[in-house]
Amino acid sequence: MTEPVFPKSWKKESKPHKFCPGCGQALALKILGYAIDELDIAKKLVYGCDIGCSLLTWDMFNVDTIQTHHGRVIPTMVGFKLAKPEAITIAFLGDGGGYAIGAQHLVNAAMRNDKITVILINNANYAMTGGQLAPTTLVGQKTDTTPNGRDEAVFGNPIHGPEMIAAIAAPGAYIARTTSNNFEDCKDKIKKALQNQIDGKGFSFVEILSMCPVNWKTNTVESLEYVDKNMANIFPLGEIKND
Amino acid sequence: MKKEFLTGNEAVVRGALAAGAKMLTGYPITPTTEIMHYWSREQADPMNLDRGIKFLQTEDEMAAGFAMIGGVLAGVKAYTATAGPGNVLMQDAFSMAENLRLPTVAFINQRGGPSTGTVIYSQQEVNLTCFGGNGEGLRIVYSASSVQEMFDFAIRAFNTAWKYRFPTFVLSDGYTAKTEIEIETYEPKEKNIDLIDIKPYLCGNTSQNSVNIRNCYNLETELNEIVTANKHAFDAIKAEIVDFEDYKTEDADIIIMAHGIVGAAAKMAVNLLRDDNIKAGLFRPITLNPFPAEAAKQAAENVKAILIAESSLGQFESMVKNNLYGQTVPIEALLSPAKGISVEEIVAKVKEMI
Amino acid sequence: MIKILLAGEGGQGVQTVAKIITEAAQARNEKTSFIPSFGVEQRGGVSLAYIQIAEENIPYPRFETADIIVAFCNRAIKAIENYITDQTIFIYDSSAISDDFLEPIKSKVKIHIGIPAQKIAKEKYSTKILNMILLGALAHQLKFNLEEVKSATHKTLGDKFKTEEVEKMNLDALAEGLTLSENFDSKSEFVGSGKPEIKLEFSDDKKTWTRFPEHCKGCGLCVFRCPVKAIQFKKEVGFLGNPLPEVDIEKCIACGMCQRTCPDGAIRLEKK
Repeated sequence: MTEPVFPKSWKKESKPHKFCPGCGQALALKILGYAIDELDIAKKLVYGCDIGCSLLTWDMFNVDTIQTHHGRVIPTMVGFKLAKPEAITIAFLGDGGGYAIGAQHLVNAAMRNDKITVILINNANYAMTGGQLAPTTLVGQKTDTTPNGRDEAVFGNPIHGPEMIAAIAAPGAYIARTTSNNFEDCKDKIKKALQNQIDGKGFSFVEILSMCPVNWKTNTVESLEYVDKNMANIFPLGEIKND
Repeated sequence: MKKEFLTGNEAVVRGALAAGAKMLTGYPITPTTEIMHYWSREQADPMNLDRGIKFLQTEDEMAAGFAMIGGVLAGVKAYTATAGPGNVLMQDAFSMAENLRLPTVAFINQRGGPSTGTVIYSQQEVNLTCFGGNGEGLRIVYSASSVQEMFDFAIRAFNTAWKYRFPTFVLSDGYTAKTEIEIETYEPKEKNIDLIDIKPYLCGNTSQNSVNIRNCYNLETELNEIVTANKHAFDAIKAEIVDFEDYKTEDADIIIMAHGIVGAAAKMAVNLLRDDNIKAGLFRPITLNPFPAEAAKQAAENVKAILIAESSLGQFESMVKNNLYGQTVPIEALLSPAKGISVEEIVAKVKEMI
Repeated sequence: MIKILLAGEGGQGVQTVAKIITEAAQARNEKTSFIPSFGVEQRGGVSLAYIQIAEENIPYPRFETADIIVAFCNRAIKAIENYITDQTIFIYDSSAISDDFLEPIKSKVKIHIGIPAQKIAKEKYSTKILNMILLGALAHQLKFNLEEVKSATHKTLGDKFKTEEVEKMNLDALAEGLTLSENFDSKSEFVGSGKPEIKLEFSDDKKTWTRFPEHCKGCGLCVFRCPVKAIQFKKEVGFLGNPLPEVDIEKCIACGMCQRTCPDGAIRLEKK
């Protein structure tokens, strides 16, 4: 019997996963799965997820996992790593968790050069709660709480997380932005981030641009375009820090 | 065993070390900060290199609480310490620990509230510590009345937490934390206290199946079942956990009910009152949660009056009344929010009552 | 008081049916209460709607047994099972819900109305409007006439119809559902569909392309990212009721883009 093609590190029993049709975050998680497989680290890994759509990943991987509170996955992983430095830790969260409610944790973990890997999904909105303004929402983008589009006079401009973190990160940190629309690039960046932790070089942080067709109310083609053009224009892809 | 001059905060660190604690994560706040001072010195001491002592001063109390949870998940006796507004922020983490029954240990030195209040002293964090968060208060809370008890309960808290797997707290206050006094310190084995063996929650298994822990559920019924099961588990261990001090209550006409350092003042008051031939007694719950309800009822059975004394406007009072439900003894209260209650005040109040 | 429970996949239009029915009842000056279920998933969980219609105000939105149940899909059965009584009218999509899923409730259901909504929608309209067919049947059971439901539909969805044709298609589907319920033979057997026969594998001498209906959510990423446009949606539907893609194996160049881009791991491409 032929079976679906999952990364080895995915938990088969929890599939199909709970993400919406065409979700870019689900794609990022598949790519993360392959990165874990290729580095062969599933048994040394602790995976932590935040609240928001990332909470759906509590049983995504056949990897020891803790689902935390909104914004708090980074300190939880920092604590784990402190207690057990030989573990490889991933803090997986969304733009709300990393740039709003838990921004202080991201900033301070980077400042301390904590040897954890933070993977952040930027889908330009708060998806789990039905599509509200996020720090990453583009100017003019309509959300449930910005019915006329994000007005920079009121809500400011979208946050550039990796650039901000790169400005304070210590030597040895790895910081990049990629997109889940690009399988190879996304996997490459995730692997480099994890390798950075494995090598004990320092903090690592990857922001992944991802589609959210359900809340953007876009069809497949529009969703792909929104990431590849609109978002990538504002949020440049590539390595921001790799030394 | 030896006699040492220690402050309450120092005693906490000595107790935690004796209990095998390895990790403190915290954020400075008066009157608790010195716990971090003493612990970080232990961590930095070259003599301690092989003891694996970890310390992190985090960016805020939420981070401190969750980093502690990270440590616990990794199988390390991790703890935190805070007060007042810090206790408010930490409820985020405590609530998760309550849901997942994680053996976190927290030392709360109460300061005046609400809001930033004072940095000095209070007993106003009783409700917050016992029942904070968006849950049902399935937490174990010891109220320490002296520096000695801060040491004793530090050892006990880690054992309780890891044995029963509920978040455990040692509630104290600014006075006790800052007081320097002679206490008896010891290693647990000198008092025949066995330390609980501990295991990691994550990254400790060798089986093919992963451990996936969540705190968010899809259905009302799922959560309903989990919370109900946790409550049953909590109720089942109550009898083993409850503790109290019962002082001269057998023949008492009037008993004082107080906890923590007010309980210590009340004990002195009882002695003074007895000198004046007033049959006073003290009932001091040591565990505020679970509350020693049966013992409290027994102590109150044959008395003519009860005086409740606390440095709050009735947090402990409602707890006592709840637990004495059905009894008809007249109850009066001496309530003094955010301010100490002296022995003399208690003596005067009791004399006024009889 | 009438208590109604609707259950289907997220995206099947369960909540739309609920809104239209409560609108129709309100137009008759009846009091209504409607609450959707909301789990943590935006999609992927079963979507439920609890509706009550009464002469008096309805203070509590939930109930334990239902007078009418409308089941849209296989996964709905588990969610509605405990709401069935001897008096419950059980409306179900007899072309989407298979017999093995009906089995556990066969002895419980005393009154059933089987409507092959998915089949009709697929053949005559679009899979997206199977909810209108079931709405028609529900409306008939609640003794609404066609004009009443049409007017409620217009009030609820009016400006959401992109064209007049789309509106007409919806209203036709509604009317058909109503008629099907009217003409339903109450003595007919309580049966569902057989297991759908969906072709899984497509192959030639160089490669095999397999797609898994129990994993495919019909998002279309494979369809639109295929560099040679070898993949297209077909009439068969996957577990969420969304159309499934199919490959034209002759056009396929076996580049693997479809497999890589599928967020659900629902496509396997093997070169021989």
